[in-house]
Amino acid sequence: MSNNDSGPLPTSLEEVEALILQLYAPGRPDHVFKTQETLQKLQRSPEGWQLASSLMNNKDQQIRFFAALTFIVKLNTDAKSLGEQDAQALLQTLIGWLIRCMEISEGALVVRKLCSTLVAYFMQFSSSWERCIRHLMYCLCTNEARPYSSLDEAPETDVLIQNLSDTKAVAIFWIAATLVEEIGKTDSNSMKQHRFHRQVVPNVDDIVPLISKYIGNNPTESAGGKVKEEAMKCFQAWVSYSHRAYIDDEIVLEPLRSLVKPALMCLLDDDLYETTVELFSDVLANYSKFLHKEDFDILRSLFNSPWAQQRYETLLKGDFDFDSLQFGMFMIAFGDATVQDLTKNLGTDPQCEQYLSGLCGLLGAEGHAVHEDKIYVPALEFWSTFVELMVDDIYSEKGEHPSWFPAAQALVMQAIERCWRKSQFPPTEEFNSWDSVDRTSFKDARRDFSDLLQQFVLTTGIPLLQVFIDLIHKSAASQNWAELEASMYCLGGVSDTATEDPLRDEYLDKVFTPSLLDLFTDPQTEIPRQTMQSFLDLIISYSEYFKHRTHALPKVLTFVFQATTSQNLAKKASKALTRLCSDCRKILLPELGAFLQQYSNITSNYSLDGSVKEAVMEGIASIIQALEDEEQRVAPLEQLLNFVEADVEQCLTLLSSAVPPQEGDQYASDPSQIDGGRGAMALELGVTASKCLTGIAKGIQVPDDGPVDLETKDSTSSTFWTAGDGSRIQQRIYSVICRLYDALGNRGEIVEELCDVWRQGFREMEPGPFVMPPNLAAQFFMKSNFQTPRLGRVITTACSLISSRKWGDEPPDVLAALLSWVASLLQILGRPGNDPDLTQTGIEFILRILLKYPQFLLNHQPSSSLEFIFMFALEALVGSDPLPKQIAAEFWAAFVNLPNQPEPLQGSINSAIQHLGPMLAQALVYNIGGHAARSELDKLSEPVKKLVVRQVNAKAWLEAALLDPSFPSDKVSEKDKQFFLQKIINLRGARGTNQVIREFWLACRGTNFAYVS
Amino acid sequence: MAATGQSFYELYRRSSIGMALTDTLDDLISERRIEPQLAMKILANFDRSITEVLAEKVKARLTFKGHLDTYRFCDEVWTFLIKDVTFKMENSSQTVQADKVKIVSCNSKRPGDPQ
Repeated sequence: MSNNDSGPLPTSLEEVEALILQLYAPGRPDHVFKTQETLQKLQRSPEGWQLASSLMNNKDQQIRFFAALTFIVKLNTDAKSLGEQDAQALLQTLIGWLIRCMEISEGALVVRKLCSTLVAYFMQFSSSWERCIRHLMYCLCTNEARPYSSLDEAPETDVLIQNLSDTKAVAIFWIAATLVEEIGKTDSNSMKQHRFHRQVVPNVDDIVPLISKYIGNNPTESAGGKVKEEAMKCFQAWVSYSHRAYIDDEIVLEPLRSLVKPALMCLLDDDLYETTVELFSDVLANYSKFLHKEDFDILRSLFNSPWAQQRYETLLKGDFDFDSLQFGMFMIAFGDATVQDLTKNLGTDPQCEQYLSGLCGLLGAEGHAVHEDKIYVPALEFWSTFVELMVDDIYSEKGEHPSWFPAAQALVMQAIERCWRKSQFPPTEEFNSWDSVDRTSFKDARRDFSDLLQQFVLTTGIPLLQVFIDLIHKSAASQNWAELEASMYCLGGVSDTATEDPLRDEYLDKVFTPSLLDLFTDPQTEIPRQTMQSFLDLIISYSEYFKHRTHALPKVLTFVFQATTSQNLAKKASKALTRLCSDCRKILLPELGAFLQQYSNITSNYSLDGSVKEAVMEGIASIIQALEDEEQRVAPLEQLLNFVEADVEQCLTLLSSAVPPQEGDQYASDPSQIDGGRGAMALELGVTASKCLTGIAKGIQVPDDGPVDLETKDSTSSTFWTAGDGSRIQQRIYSVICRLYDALGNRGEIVEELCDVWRQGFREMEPGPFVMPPNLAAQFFMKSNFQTPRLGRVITTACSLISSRKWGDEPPDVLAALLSWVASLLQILGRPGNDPDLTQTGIEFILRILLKYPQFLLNHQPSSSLEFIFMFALEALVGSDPLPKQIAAEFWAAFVNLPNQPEPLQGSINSAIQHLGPMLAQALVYNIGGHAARSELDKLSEPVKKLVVRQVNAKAWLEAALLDPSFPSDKVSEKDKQFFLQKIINLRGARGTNQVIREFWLACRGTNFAYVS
Repeated sequence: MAATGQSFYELYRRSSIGMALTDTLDDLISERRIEPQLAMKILANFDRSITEVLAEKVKARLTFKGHLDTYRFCDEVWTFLIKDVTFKMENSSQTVQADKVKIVSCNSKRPGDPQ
């Protein structure tokens, strides 16, 4: 921070005191900031030690607090300036101050800060203050800041503890707890360096008897609740620390374990309950090895006690206050820690069954899950773990289920029954009154339950479906919609697992019965939206079933078509329709005419959302795809296109009838804003028409999982769609695309949607109505200019065209035109930094051409344009934008690595590389020398590796770049650079180059960047 | 308690979000706005948070099919190399193809952790 940020430094102690008081008083943020800067400067100065000593006896508490803080700052930043004697003197000063604090009953604010100061001292001088806790006890008992060297003269620790007052014990607890908390935060490297664990371990023998004095078997009766609570918190901190010590150095702090039993008894003490239950929940969840077998026995009997029973019942009755909920979490933590034993002793140990029944009961607490019932989700997580354990052990005993399996299955069935109840939606109004977090979490909890079912069905097999089928029938008969919804949801949840079972369809016959279908299609019955949606989800999940059971299909389709006209159900219904049509395309062929008619009816009677129309069109197109002959597909496709064209006509009519914008009108360039929203309607129609084209294109695609008939002749050479009768379909599609683009091409939505239509055709592997000749696609792309919105999307779509297999062996001249078009866009752009998106997509396009048709790139005319392309890609490489840099690195790696080409092309490549090589090397070295971001190094390593392998001059080029004055770092010597160069040349493009480059970059950046490996 | 007791894998630092975080920390160090020690702590927090968030919050799922080319189990780490993989995303009929996918899966409890 510069000097200008803070005010002038104070010249007297009074001024400093005034500044401190000013800092802690309310004030303007800029003043506070300035004051803080000034004080921090003082704290960091060499006089900081003296300042702290002068302030610690001040009569104002805030100033004494600041004194302690100043000692901490000095210890953390300037401890090395203290010699051994200075350090000892400082320790005595701090302890002396602590004693005075005890004498004057100093407030907790200062005492706690002073305790932290003593911990900061330990962190710096741990080796010369090993038995810190005993030393502090000794000093506090004698009310004298004795030197550490006099500790040998001190009485036994037990004697010290007996003489320590409760107030002083609290101070020791604060220090001891802070000590292990701070050490627990130390990173592993620092831990190894300072060997903190080894320094802390001896103190456990001193703190344990002190904690025991308050929470042990015979606690001091006169001790107040405050000191007992601090003792428990200190114990909690030490147990937590012991876990870290175990992980780092396998150190077991055995004396702490002697406190477990008495600490457990503190659960019964209302004052200590919250701290204790949190402590043991944490231990059980994270470090259950800390507990002995006897401790688990005590816990078991505790859970069987009337105390636990009472807390359990309170929780089930809907008391979700913090302490009540903590009890439930404690139960679950014990269950998690002992789940293996609980499971495997099922059937032989009634206590296990009883405990698991208790955990099952937690799924049935009063209130709606999540919104009211806060124990449901953690309990559900336990049962998910339980089921996972069952799945792991399915065949643990040579092809047989283990003996405990039936009892475990029975328990899980009970849990499922409770979860099924909890998964039922509350009435819509009530559900909508919840906040969004609760609504989302409720749905998440349903999904978690669905996950549990998916796992459990692996242990039961398909008969589990019967449970939900029965529930469906029962709730449908009683018209209990919430139950029906939950039952269908559960049945849908196991669809993935049930797919392969040969009996699946027999079970589903009992679901999709005429009576259930009648119920859902009966106009007289008002069924809630969620139940209708769940039924649609069920149809989607099991759509394949209808391929084998065609009798149910007509009624299901009637229901689905009806649902598309409801605003709330339309999206799901259209998805169901797409799925049914796709799965049952061959069966539905005779109904194709009816489908087209039905589509006409619903679109003329209802205003459908664009995405719904797209989905329905996709479904119908997939039935058309099932027609054997290409000729047969033409007529129904024409009908579908009629619907699309009707939307286009309406769109164009709206646009043409709208009052044209006046000159200077702010919306002149935006058709959607024309004439008070008529333009917006036109835009919506245009987007819908584009989406419908995409839907048709998706539906008409040949399914990729169909059988391959090796006997039939190769159809890839068919010209039916490009030159035969099908060509008029292509012409109509192209015409729709162009008309939409010409009218609304300055809207990003339209550009994106139309690009999507093209992509569908590029993806198709066989000839089809959307697989148009490449020159048509290219003509469309070249309509775009620098003003076109989402131009990057257009170029990316052109990239897909290059990569698609539509060109044949000899790409047409239009490829050269496309390249010129991209080059001209980049020339207008000028510099890569002006538009990173366009830069990235532009270079990607050139890269794709380079990889597939290098001759087109190298023969690009005029030569000045080719030179511009190369220089543009070089500039992108040295720029700061990450995506252009990455694609430029890919481009240069590909260019340097081009396989040998026939002459004269190879000659052109060689000449270009000789010219560009030194510049490329310089750009790469500039990045590797520290300019690049760390994440870019792997990408940048690729062109370096290719240069080293493929170019004999690489070493000279790289050497010149390393020694060039533009090299961005002064942290590496010439020798370092030579060493680096030698290494990468020796590696000859091997993978190790990346690591060498990473190390060199790090050396160039400096040690500040070595914080991560 | 878990925050101090449990240690977490650093493998998500190589993910795009982890690399973006590291780049940002590098920038802050370059501008002298933070010290490397703070960057280390932030990355340690990132290791913990990304592990917890991916375990607890991510509900989306996908299925995939492919040919299992190689698999190994070494130092408690499973590695699967799968070829010609087709991913199917939840709530989408579209699929995504990949020539090769490498799956590295580690035990949610690190080796050396006491459970």
